[in-house]
Amino acid sequence: MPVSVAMTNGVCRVMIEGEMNIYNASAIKDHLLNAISECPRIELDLFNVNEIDTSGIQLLIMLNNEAQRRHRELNITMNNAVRNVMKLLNIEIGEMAQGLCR
Amino acid sequence: MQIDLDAAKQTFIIEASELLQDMEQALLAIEESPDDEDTINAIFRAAHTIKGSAGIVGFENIEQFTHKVENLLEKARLGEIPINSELIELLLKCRDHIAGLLQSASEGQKTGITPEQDALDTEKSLTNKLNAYLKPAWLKPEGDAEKTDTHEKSCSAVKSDNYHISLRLAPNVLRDGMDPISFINYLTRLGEIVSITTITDAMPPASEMNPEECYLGFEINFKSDFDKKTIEDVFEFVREDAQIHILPPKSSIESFIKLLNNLPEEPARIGELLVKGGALTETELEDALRLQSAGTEPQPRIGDILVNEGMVHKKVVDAAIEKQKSAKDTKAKEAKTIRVDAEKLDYLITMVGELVISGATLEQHARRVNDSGLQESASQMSRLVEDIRGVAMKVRMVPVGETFSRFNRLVRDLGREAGKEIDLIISGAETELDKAVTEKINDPLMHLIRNAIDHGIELPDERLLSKKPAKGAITLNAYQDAGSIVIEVSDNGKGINSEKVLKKAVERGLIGHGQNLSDREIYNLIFEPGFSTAEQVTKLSGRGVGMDVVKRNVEALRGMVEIESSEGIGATVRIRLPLTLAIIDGFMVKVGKHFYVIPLDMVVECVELTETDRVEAKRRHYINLRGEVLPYVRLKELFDENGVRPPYENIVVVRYAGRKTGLVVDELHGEVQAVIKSLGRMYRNVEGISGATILGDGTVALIIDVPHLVQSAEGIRQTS
Repeated sequence: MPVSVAMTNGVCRVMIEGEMNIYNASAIKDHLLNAISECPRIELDLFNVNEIDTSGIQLLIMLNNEAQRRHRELNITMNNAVRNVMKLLNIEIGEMAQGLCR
Repeated sequence: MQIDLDAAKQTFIIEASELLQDMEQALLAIEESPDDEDTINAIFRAAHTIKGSAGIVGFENIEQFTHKVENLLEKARLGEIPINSELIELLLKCRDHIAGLLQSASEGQKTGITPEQDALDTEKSLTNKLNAYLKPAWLKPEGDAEKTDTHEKSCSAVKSDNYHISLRLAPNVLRDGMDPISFINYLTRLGEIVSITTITDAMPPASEMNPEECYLGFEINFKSDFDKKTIEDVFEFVREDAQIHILPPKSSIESFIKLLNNLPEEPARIGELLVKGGALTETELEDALRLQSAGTEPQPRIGDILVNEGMVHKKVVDAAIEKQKSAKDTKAKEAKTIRVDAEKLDYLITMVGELVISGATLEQHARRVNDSGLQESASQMSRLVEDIRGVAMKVRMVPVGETFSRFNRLVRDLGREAGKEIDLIISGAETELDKAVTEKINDPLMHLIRNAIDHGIELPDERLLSKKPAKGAITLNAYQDAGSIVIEVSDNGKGINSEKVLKKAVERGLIGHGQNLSDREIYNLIFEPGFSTAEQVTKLSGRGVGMDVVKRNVEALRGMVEIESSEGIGATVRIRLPLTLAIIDGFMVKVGKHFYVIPLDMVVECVELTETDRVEAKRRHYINLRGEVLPYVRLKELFDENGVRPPYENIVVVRYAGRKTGLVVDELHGEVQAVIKSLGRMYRNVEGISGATILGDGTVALIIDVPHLVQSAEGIRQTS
């Protein structure tokens, strides 16, 4: 199972490992939506994601939109593999929006 | 999802029919003024929207055919094909074909069903004709992408030295095993991605999002020395179903404008659009924004600043502004009108009707209780109810003009077929009519117009001989008159030959020999079933059906038809329809023991039936009303009411279709609001009664059918 979820005191830590691609997009979407409906604050850890494709990026965009809509706090941490894709597509969510990676 | 799609299809069918209507109007208009750009654009937009929506709801045959029409229109719009009558004829035929496809789609609600053979034949021949026009461009394969940028070099080019790539990916691209990111990554090997914007507008809310579908689009400003073909090939595997536009460096302004118009997203602010369009960098936009906020009053628009600063060409800004504006306009329009199910409106009106009745009951009770406070509230409420009633009735009213303008095409086509030149003149288009009535009046009007074209208007030579202009005219006119709506169909043709009508009527045994008839009565013979004077049965009319159908349809709407004609000058058919179908202001009278309601719009005055007239009444059925002959009807006799004759009788003078008649009643009771309830099937054909209403105290009052009584009173007068 590449996704682990831990909830404590209204903070939900979601860690995704391995691949974020079309093959597991559906499962990951369920986890993310579940987390955001349960907790006011989400910590998404993508540090151990070694491959992300368009479907994975779409899920991050969806999560970000949903967090804004529901006024949830969302923090995303990522490694360079993910960061490079975000940069390539010029998508500003998570730490990219806060200018941490510049 | 499935249900939603069905609803979407339904909406598409309604909207597409309206668009086709617009398209037809515009095509007819362009025949008159072939250089009118707005009209050409309107036609193009209609076709474009139909194509797009047809694709969305999955009517592929409509999408494909309309796409070809759109291509042709595109060329006409750019002035590559001259707009002449031949082209318009073809486009009208194409429009009809799309309407046919739409029709069978709405009947079948399925795309899979095989269309009928003749529809396929039509499509084939139309497609061949379309292709003949499109030939030059089709010599090149993939003409679509190249078309815009090769031969427009002479036009002013944008400053940007970079490619602009606009991608909207197909939803199934991910499932097909493609990853758009890898294509974009590959681009970096061919050059430098100067800027990229990921478009997420198409992404649905989280709950509806399908993680295996692709919702993304990209706008890429790309610097590269490779040729367009090489860059195009990068996207070869995702090209299917995707929208890909690649604009080479120094593309013409026109191609940017086209791109702006083609982008599916809601127009963002102009600046953003221009950045997306690659015509501007973000820095330039930021400068412009700063200039604007520091600017003097009144603040110039961003667009103006950009042009003034020489940052972009005016045309690009205009296109962006236009897109923004037109989106705003349609939004404003959307906010102003909503589609409502007609059934809901009917229900509302029924409820308002009930409210009127119970309001009347309340007022009656309040009067009895003799409590001034209660009376005041009751009368205030009944005033409000009256207002609600007025508004509720208005909701159903639509201008008759839309119905009228549909006949433009009919007149044009039939006129041509018959070798006659005819103008259709429309007046009173703003006159409002109940929506249900406009739908039902369509067929009768069509018959009348056909008749006018076939029997009324003469051939050009004939007209010139009788010193008339060669071009005939048919006029459709509508206006309000005393509680009814009048619709007139007139032509300036040869009029009705009453001798011919008479001869035919005798032949058909409708009347006996030597019977003396007034002109009005002679014309009425035309409405008899199976009557036709056309010497030759033509394609248009003359089969003897039509006029009696017209009469039946109009009478079903509680209306009336009459004909006026003068030989050699023309004829007018006048249709009178009641203003409303549900609630009327009435004037209540009592005859014997029962109450009757007369529609107030038709009441002119009330006078006393004097003793002298009463005596005279034994001999004749009219009185002298201030020197005018007034025929009258005794309601008591007509409806077989018993009861003693009161010491004073009253005459209610009513007017309908310009003729006055008196109705003799026992008592006058003043104004009421009457909710019309139709009578049961048993009583529907009772003469002189058009319906019933329920009074405040629960008693039933019958509503007098004034048009009918006016006619029969006339009859009584003539026979006596």
